Amino acid sequence: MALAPHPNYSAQVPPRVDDAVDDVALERVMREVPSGALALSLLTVGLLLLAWFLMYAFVFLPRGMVG
Amino acid sequence: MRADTEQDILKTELWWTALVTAVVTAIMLAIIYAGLVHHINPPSNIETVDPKTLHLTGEFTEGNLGTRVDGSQITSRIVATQFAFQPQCIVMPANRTVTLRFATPDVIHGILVTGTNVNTMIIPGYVSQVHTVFTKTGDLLMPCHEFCGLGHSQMWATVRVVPEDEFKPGPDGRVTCDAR
Repeated sequence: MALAPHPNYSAQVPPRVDDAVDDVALERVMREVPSGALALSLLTVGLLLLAWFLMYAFVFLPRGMVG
Repeated sequence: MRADTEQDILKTELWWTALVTAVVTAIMLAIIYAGLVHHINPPSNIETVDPKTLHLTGEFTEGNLGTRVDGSQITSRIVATQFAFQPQCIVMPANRTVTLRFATPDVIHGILVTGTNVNTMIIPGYVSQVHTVFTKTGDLLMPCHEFCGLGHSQMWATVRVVPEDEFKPGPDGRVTCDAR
């Protein structure tokens, strides 16, 4: 005997609604977001690299030979 | 997603990959340059010693410790133990190539000399060796930088770098902090 569906089952599933995001807006976001992420990545990696080279040039090299 | 948007993202990823590759390459070239031109290399001496008889026989017996001049070679031998260096103070001349040799009879230690590139681990069973040139005179702190037990923070020594004309070995070729 097949189980009868729970009487409240249909009430638990939210009704499907249009999320009101149109394709044009989605495409625009997909174009803009990588540019911002790239700018942030360039800034953070650039600062890290700058700090590394400053330590290398002004601390590590002047301390002289070791081995 | 539109095809040209996917192409844009792919192009960005490839561009970023190229950039990161260039950064890693630049850092590797800088390290190779420091090694080849400035002779700044990680200590890579591989030499074994018996930690059980360290203080009884061989070069790390008490009478051999400290700085010794042998011809043109200036070598300092130091034993690192829980929780002290023996000797507590060594004398080194400025602007001369010197050799520091370390051994330990107990656990893993490590040393660095402040303001220099001298930095090495000291591992039971091995002799750690560092060649360097001290360019600044004065008392440099040499702490243990590898946690070795409860007294680790009390474990430090002094490297006394003196001007070359003040570095005068005794008749036995030894130079000690006490003699100065």
